[in-house]
Amino acid sequence: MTNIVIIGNGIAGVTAARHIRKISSDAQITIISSESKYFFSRTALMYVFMGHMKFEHTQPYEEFFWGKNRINLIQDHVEKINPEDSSLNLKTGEILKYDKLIIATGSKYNKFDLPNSDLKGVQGMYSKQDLEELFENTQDCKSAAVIGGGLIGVELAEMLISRGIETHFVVREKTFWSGVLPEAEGKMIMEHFKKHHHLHMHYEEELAEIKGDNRVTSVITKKGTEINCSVVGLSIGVSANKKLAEECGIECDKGILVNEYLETNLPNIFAVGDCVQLKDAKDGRRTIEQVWYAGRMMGEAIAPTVLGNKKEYNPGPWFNSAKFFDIEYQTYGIVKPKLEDNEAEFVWQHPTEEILLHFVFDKENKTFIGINNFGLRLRHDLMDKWLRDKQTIQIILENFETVCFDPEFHRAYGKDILNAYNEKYNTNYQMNKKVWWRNLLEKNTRPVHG
Amino acid sequence: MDNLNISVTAKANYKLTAGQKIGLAMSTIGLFILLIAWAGVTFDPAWLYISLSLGLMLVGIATYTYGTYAHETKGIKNNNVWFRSLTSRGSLAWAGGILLTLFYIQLYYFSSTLGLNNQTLTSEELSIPITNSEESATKLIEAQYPTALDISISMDGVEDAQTFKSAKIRLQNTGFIHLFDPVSKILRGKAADQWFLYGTLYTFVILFLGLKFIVKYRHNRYQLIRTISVIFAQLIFAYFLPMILESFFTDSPSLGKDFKSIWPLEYNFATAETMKGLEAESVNSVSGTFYFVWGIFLFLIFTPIITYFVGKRWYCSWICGCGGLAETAGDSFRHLSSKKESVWKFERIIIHSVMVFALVMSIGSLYPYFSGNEFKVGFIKITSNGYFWGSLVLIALAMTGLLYAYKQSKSKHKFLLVGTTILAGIAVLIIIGKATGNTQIFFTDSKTLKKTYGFFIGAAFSGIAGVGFYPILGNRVWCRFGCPMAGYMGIFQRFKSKFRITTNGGQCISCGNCSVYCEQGIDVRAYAQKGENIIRSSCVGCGICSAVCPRGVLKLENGPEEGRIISEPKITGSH
Repeated sequence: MTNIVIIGNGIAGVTAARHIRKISSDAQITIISSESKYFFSRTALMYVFMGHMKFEHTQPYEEFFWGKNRINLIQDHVEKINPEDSSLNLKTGEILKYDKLIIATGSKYNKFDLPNSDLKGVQGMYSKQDLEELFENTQDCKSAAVIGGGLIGVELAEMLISRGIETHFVVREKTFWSGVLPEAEGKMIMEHFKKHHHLHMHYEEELAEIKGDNRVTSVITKKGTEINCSVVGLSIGVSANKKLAEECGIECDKGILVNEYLETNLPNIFAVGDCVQLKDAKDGRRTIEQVWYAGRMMGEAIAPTVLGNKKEYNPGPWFNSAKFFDIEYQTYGIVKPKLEDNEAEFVWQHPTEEILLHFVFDKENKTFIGINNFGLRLRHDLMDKWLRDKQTIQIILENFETVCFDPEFHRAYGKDILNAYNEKYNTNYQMNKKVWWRNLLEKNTRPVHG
Repeated sequence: MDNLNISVTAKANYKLTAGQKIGLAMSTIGLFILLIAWAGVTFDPAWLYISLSLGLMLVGIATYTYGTYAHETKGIKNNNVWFRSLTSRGSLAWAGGILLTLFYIQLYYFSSTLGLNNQTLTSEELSIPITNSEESATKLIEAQYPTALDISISMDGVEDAQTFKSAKIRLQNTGFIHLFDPVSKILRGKAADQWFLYGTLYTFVILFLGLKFIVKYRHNRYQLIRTISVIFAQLIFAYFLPMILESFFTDSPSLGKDFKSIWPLEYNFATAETMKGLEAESVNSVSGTFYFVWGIFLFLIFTPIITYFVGKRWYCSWICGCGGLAETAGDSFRHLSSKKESVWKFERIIIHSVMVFALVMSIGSLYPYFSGNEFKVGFIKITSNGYFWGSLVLIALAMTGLLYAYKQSKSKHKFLLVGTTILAGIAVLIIIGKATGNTQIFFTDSKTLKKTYGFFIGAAFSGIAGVGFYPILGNRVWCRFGCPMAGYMGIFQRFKSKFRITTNGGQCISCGNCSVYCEQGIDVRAYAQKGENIIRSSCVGCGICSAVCPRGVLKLENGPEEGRIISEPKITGSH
């Protein structure tokens, strides 16, 4: 009977526990977290703040689930890992033994290295405690500043304006999220921002100074603009919680370094989720991927490995999703902000609606490389299959009506998109009739090239 | 469960827009007129006040809707839902819920207090000699009460030696019901009664708040089309059409029925009284025959076939009146349904129990009728033997269906076997009844059965609890726990249908919006986060889970049965 201890009850740690239990009915599983006793969905914290749901709704499993699956939950803080005798020191003084240890400590938001950056009202948004702090900080808040673009920044801004707080969004880039998004996408998002009252954008601006005594009263940008605010939301990225690992001799860089089996350099110690940095990444993916999906897939992959049946972490083609206020975003494959030399692109934007599709494919053999998809929903299974099969852009476009995942009666705009492509590239692709999507998934459409 | 370590409020920051204030003011004045009438004040001229009231509410709700959404971008706007008193089981919700519940109790059991003035007077009280004939008694009473709406005479004694005993006299409406007289006179040429009042309020609430719903979900065409359908079904098929037809074809009372209301939800369809009425009606009019055939066709053929192709949503969230009210007036309360597994277990027991009750009530009511008469509507003749064998064949068919479902399903649901056993029991009782000649096969007379069902299910469950508890338990209490029609279609949806909610690969982030806003209390997230399709008998296909999902993970669709139920879900991306 293996005694498995997991530090951290986020999506990575909990998924690991669930899958370990699926494979082994007799493994002893313990999860330790100081943030909360029960697993909750971090992605839903914003909805608690906006009043869409209550905190209890963010917890995907009822209390009985943990007992039924014999997953032991401890709310405590791990102070120290002792690899030499396979034990942990907890804050309450308890010492916990393990046979296998999975570190899933997640990440924390970055702070500015500026004076006053510890003033009350200056905070990021990552944990349950951050949410509680934000509830408190916004009690009498009339005006706030969000520093740094990116996904948490957008979420923070959406949260704040939902309370009628005048929100100043300070973004370093000229077009929004240009480190990730190509210009067309960034511009459409910027147009959408304009539609929201209470939201005031400050592009090509950075934070220079935070002012206030006990509580923040204003911030000053590098160009000298002073923004009065009683809350400053930080969105300048997150970094791995690696201190615990580092202190016990686990090899770290920006995150806890692991191989393709998610093993650290120390025996019987593994790491998953936001705290991880892969030594080597495949399929054009990055070595640090601090997103929900990567955490979940690592948690799933680690289960057999921990139980002695080593399995490589192989997440397959990249995908992600987000929402920019009202615009849904999905991405499949790799779309870089700037095209590589071998890449060609096709951008289709709806003349009036907020719908934009950005296809990237190989210039020569037309192999589909990736898509950024705003305002439409696409089928993950088909996109995943076509990316794995290295299908051509032609297959994607000709089957667009089938790949569309929008609710019934919605338009997929397949013909408009195909016509625009044919016109641009002087091709004669023909739209296929919409079929049941699984037929396409199971059909072995052989790639034309590659 | 964990909770936040602070009290969560957003009162200070929640401000009404000018449009919302004006809209609220107008609709409150409109509502106030109704409330005063409810309190017993008789308005004259009624047409002025009812137009004023309905008009103010319509314009008020439209203005409120405009004030709420006009300056907002299109999209899901559930901000502050859990902070507002009305929508988070606060004091407003409790007050509203109690008021609604009381209204239903009054409607069902104390309709005279709504202004329906029935008096039963004896011959002494009327000072009419007891020896009078029915005709002359009526004349005398008409002279005494020239404005009476209806007079019905009770006589004593046998055929040739009848004596006048008492008269039930319906006087002019007052108060709340009187307010609706002008509308009733226009539509059906006679004064209103409590059911007309209720039907009118019901229909206008669906219309007014349906329009608000359409604006709220204007970015979603599924919601748009579905809501237009549900408003249209209520307005035309349940309200205007039956009333207009009824007033034109006075010898065809069937035409005054709601043709989209299906047994067993429309439990009155399969009762001795209805059969008697249809028999009489079919002598002069083809409508009685049509209604009889139509009712059986809807239940036996139409419903299973359509449910097979698109799931039960075609009825529950596209056509049904109960669903119509839930989706429009109840939209603000959809998140209040409990998602606990224990409640799901309770739901399965109670909804199927009501279904069995409805079946027993109908058979118990029809059995004595058919075995006593030779039933004849139009070209259809049902003899006692025909009914006996016909019902046995139908029960056998249903048993085969349940056993087939049991065999097909992987998880071997025990309730299917329980259902089969109950059906077998009913068949045995029918056979014993036939053999012994005892028509009370369920050991009680049909009237008691119908009355009990009507009291507990028809009134208390579907009305009082079903709508009265909207602000506390959510908007689908009846549809989820009680409706026998939903239970019937649910069995098809679960075991033999092309409908499912597809989960989009691995895109779920477990946020829980889908589960929170599921009015049927389905924990949608539990399926979505595993990459599993959602196949649940209770899903009414409202599509809100898909609408509120911030990551585009859910899609309601009809497809091949193969691959519909995913027994070993795998998340796309992890292989």
